[in-house]
Amino acid sequence: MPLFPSVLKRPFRPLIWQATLLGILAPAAYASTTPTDAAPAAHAAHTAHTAQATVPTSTASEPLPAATALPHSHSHVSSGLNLVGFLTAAYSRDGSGTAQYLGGKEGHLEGALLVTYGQGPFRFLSEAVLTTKEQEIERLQVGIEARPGTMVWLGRVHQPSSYWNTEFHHGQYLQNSITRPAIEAWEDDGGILTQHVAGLLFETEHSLHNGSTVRLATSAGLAPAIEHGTLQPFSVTGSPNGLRRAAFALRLDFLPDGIGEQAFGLMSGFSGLKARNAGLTDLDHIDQTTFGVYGDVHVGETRWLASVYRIRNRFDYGQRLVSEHATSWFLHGEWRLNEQWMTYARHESTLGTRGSAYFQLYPGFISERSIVGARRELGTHQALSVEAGGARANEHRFTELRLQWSALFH
Amino acid sequence: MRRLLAPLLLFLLAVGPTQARDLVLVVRTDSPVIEMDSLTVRKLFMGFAVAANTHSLHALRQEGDVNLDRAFLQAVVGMSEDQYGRRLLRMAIKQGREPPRTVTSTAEMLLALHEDPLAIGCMWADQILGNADVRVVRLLWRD
Repeated sequence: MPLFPSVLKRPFRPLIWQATLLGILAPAAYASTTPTDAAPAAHAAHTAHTAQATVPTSTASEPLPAATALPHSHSHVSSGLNLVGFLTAAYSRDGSGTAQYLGGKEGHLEGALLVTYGQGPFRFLSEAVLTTKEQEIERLQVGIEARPGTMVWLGRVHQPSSYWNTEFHHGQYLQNSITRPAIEAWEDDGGILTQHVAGLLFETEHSLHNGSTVRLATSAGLAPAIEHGTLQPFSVTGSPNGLRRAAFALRLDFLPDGIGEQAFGLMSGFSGLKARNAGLTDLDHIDQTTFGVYGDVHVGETRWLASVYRIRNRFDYGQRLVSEHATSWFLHGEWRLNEQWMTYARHESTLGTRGSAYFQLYPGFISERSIVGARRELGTHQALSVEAGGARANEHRFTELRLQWSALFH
Repeated sequence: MRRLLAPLLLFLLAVGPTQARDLVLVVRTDSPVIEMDSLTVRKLFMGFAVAANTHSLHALRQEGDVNLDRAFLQAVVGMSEDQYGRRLLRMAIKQGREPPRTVTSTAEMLLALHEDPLAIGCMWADQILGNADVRVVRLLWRD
């Protein structure tokens, strides 16, 4: 397993190995500036928890000396306001000529503002999106770092059982393709899986002895409801949100290289989707259960990202239960040609949509799509993208063409 | 031939090996950190949680020195400035994690290290010679 990321420019690699070797051999070149009593502790055991620096064994389980009291350091380093803005302008056409499958986004302007604030172990995070179609606070959460690498959040959060969405969130600039796989679509973009919940999110990461990292994220909260053919998550600013059922989600990541250039994981979720004017008589709710696996692999200048989901929807009509299943997968590849240009392609498919009562609730859901695209970096934090492909929604096949300018302000 | 020898010697002296500069990982003298492997250093500067005695360590990055920036990107995080920036943004957007604090001068770096026992910074070794407040944890790169 390579120690350094494959995206690294080749000329860098020998230098890094040189640095690594120097680090290993580092010996006594600076002995004069290293406390002499530190040497016996130099091989104190690493723990199997969050990445640990080696510390003197005599103090490994003791609090820091008074002279190094933590409140001072927290107030000095761990506090701060961080603002990140995203701006996107996109134009899309589909072959149907009606923009029916573009969710009313033929011409689309979108701005997103991410605000984070940290004070000691406390954190605040807000992600607001403003488009020509809607304004929404997508995430609004407060958290506490219970221990290094372990966060507990409360608020409206992104449920963790989607690797794609927890990788890119609403930062369109950070996502190289214009579209995201339909199975990962946000609820208000025609998504059919729960993506936002109001409740608790627990995240923790641990380093293994070999340098690999294991992460666990799990959430519990209020699920979206099905209203008029759309999943409606709990709204922070919206009026009456009505009765909702519970949602749980979990994702387990394994990062062999420790830093996430390679990542593999398992995902699972459960949502009780309350039906309100869903269009099916006597339907009370749908219990939706998902199991999935994903892989995110960098090989040389390419990146492969794939997910497979198995979905069960159980309709509760009060007097009877009806279950149906679907399988959804996508394979997304990116090829970086140089610092400015990259190309990408993706194929995605959802099997089990034909004759499905659940997918009939979302007539715009794209059950199959193949796209190719190119992205050109402009300056430091701007990019132009073009994407074309073919798609199928229900029995309708059509072509798609998209152009996008995206930017990041930081 | 003798007339050529003197200019040749002068030329060799002029272009000969210059003083090597070492990029080192430094902490305050009483920091709980004794040593750190290269992968953990990389994790620290990429925004992952790295702890000592269950307390999170704080990465400090010095900007403004082109050579130090170059050495840091190559030897510590192993990516271009743009790629590094995007990685830090992803960490911020995922979990609200703060990027390493940046300082713009050696004096500011030394002050930050002096004030925070959990801070770790990258500096040229010759910038800390004779400074008893800080010590070297690791040699990162030799220029």
